[in-house]
Amino acid sequence: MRLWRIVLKSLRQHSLSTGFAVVNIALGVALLVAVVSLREQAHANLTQAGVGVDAILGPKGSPLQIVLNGLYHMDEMPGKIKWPYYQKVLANPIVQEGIPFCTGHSYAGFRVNAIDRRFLTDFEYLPGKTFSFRPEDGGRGRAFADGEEAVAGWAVAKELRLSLGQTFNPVCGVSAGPMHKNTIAFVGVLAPTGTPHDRAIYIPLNTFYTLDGHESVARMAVDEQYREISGAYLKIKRVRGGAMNLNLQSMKYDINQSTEAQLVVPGEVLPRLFEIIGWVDGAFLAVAVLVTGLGTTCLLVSLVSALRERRRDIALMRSIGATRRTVLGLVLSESLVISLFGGLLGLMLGHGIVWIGSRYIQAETGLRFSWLHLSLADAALLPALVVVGLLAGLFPAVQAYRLGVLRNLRPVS
Amino acid sequence: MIVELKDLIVEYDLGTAPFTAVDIPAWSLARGRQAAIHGPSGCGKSTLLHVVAGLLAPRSGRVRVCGNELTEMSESDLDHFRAAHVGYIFQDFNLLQGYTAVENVLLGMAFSRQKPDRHRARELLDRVGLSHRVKHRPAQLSIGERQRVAIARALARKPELILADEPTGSLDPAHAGEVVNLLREACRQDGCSLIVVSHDPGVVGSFDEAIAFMELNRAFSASGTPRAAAVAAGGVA
Repeated sequence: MRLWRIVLKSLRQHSLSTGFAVVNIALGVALLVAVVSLREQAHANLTQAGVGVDAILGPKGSPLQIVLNGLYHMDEMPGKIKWPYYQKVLANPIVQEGIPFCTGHSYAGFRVNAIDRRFLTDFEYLPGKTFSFRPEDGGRGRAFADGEEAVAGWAVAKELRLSLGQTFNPVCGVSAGPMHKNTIAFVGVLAPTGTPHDRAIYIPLNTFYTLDGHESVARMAVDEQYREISGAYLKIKRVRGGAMNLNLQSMKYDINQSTEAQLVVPGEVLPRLFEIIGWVDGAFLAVAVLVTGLGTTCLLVSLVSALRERRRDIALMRSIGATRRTVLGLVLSESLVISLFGGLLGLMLGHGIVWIGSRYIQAETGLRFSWLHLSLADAALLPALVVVGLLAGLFPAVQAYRLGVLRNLRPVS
Repeated sequence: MIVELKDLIVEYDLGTAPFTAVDIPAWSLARGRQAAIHGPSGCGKSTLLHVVAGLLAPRSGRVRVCGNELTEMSESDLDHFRAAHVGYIFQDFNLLQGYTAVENVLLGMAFSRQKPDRHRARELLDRVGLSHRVKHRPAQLSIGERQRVAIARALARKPELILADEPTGSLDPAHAGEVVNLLREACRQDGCSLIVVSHDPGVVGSFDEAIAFMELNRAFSASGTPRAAAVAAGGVA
């Protein structure tokens, strides 16, 4: 009989406590794997959302609010900026291009953003990637022309089951508000991008100014001096090697000193967002570590109680030639098998949680998460499980090592 | 010689003063021989076997078994010694309950250097008349059958010496004779030496070399101490 068969046999003999220990470790590992994977992907996704936008020109107010509204289609813009000021910023030699937009409208729970048409044709939401309407990419139709036309992000079209030609009436405000009488037709659906841009509806900038009920701002469509926008995405010219132009900071300083607007660099603001939500994933991580710790304790208890029942068996093995080291190895092996098996189960369960969670998160935010994403937790799993197995098995293994043979054989004669 | 004992003294600490359980000036057993040591319960027979098996260290004296000086060996060396040279049969069989008969026999090979040989395990069970009980667990076997499995397990590693501690203690006289004959025959076939300790005169009578332990053990005749206290303390048979 090989030693590994003795290990498996012993585990089978105590299948109930072994099972509980495996489940406990699996739950802890699953939570850890899921939390770390979602956390890493959330960070990557949120950072990536700002990749296509070097800076956002927005009104005075909270920079975080501008990023949330401008990039994630959440919250509201704290005000407006004047078109001439935007033009002045555009004239700065380090600005490569600007895409102005107006927010503040919605339809069926999704934001309706009025935006320059170049957003749909030229804007790179990721380096080298522009929006696609090609069916092979998952898109449909075309970009809007001027007039009462709209393009839906992929998630909007999917959730509202939009078909081209279908019409809607935008609502003033982001939740409930007066409905405009304008009937705007969907002429295109963007191919999925895995960014928050999938969760918005886009209409032409001029259409926004001329919506029914916008009589007071209708002049903005024709009079640039009078025109206002919520903000603008700015692309900054890169210096040699693709690095960000250092003059961005001085431009930002100048703009922020003015009373007209502010310049927000998403890459600087997003870490602050992570700081704000950091405690949430910290709490999840703490719970996961606690559950894993509980699993380890459960493994220890299960091994100790199994050892109590097996004193005689171990003494017998010693009497027929098993060395102290063999016995130590057997108990440690049992612990390792339980922790590795539990870990493997937890790994699958964890990625299962990410798979389920990713569908929900994508539906809610448009951010794309992959259940196959290999996180730090996956990489650290194997060595961590070996450590957990050895730690939990050490105490009972030493007990088995020290076990007195004759005392536990209880000779009868 | 397979076993040589010289000035062997085994003591137990009973809390107040050390209790001498075994005091043997000299005894030896030639290779291939079979000996029965008999005596009443509590006279130290099992203690002697434990010493010869390297399970119990004497206070003093020389214990040479299969060419190994046991008193000079480390605990780990003693484990290896048992695995390589000795087969031990207990009165209460000490079979692992979760293992089938053949697995219990295979366990006898697990800790030695030789490869576990399922074919040999089955052959041994066949020799002890249990070919039809190979996959039965101890709880599914009769007491006599359990002792046969224990014999097969002791023989599994082809040991040079088999130590049997009251192997028939749990059996009725008819089965006792049968099991002892089986054990003796198996040892003869495998060419290994055998020491059986028993309080049963019927068992001892069949051996050529039958030793009354009271004669061998000076401690028993000298002290005359009631052994109940020692038995209660554990380890003295």
